[in-house]
Amino acid sequence: MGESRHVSSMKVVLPGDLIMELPVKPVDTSENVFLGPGLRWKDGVVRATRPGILKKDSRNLYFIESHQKRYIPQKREFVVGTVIKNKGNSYLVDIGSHEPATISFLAFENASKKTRKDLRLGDLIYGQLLVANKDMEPELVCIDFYNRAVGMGTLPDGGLLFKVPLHVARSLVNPSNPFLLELGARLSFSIVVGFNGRVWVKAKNMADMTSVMHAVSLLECMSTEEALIKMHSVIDSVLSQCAVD
Amino acid sequence: MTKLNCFLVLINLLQLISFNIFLQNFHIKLIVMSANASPPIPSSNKNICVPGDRLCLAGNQCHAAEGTYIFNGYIYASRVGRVSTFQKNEQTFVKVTGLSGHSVIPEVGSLVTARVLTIHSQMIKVAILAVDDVTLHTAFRGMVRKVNVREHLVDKVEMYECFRPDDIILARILSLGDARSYEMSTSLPELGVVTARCEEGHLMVPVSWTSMKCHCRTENRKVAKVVPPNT
Repeated sequence: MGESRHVSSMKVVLPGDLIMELPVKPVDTSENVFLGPGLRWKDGVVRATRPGILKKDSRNLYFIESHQKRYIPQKREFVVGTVIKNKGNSYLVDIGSHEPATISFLAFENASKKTRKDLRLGDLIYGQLLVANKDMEPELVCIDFYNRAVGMGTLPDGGLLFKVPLHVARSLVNPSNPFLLELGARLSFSIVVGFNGRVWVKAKNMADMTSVMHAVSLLECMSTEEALIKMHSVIDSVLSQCAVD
Repeated sequence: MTKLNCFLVLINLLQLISFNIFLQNFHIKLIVMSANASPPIPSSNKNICVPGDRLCLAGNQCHAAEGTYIFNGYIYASRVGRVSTFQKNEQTFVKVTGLSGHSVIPEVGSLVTARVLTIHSQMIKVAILAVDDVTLHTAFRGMVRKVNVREHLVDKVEMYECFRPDDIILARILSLGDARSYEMSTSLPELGVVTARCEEGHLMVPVSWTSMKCHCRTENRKVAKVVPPNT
């Protein structure tokens, strides 16, 4: 499904490094250069604005892959948030961005002016960002364009919420990443990953949830292949610790 | 006994009335004297009045002009300033002028220039900088609701596509609003964004009624149709 894009790593860059000279728009459209996150074109040159690895796509898309923990809200991203305030017609939800996001009580499936969705403070919500820019407060919804929930909404009680860096969350959601499948072969759990770096796990007991949390945290400091190997020993040690207590 | 009380009350009333008449004449003499006085010294504190000061009797001798109001047959000052009289059509007018030059208040229907402070999905908050062509010393607060941004397709307005923080806009005052801000509208074609900067900070020029551009990017705004004055 979709063309497989070959991504090649080029070099490690720091903010301010000159990437290439690009004085004017090329006439031939096949020579079009696309600049992704972390790159900026100003005064005819392309410079890096983040530290990381410069990568290039087969479609001439250049971008910088960097490790970041602070979430900058983007439209159409799925995030996990915590309800912090009830404002009458809407709720304030903390998603880790510059301002808390708002979600209207009508933005849930089967919600109308008479049947409200009642959320308590501290509830967890998995939703999609409808409005997200640097000048306004972000807006969250739990329905899609056709008013269906498609898996969004409040998360059930009894789970565990923990934070991971953004690149870990992105790699977990990547369908070609075998990490979660391997983990699922070992333990049974349900997991919700938000693009804002918040991950929610629920399993049948606390020991399983803690071992999933430690296994996913491995991805923060090692590559996926190394994590797959180390994962089993980490889970074993966590489970034996919990059995002792 | 009651006859005595009535008599005493009558005397008191008479005294009050005569004292009042004496006061009015005294006040008018003050004003007339000051009007014929030597050229005013700016640092003088003669003829300074505060709101509530009774200036003179309202009637054929004296008419109320700006900065004053009439109550119970007398002319009172309604602002801090200097009292002065002027003649117009052979009639005397009393006015109170502010101490620091022009002082304009936005009124319903006046054209104002404002700077956008914050944008929300239902409204924007602005700081009113000038009313008609008079710049204000302190900015008033105003707001433009989503339904008053433009005339067509009023419900489908995206605030982020019409205004951004730090844009300069022309608007018209709809009402005095609430205690915090005036309520304004930009729905007419000649109202809207006049000056704006792009995200990189470059000044933009209008391209159409819905977009402005600079040399690096194009952005959407609700652009004002500024008609150059016919001279």
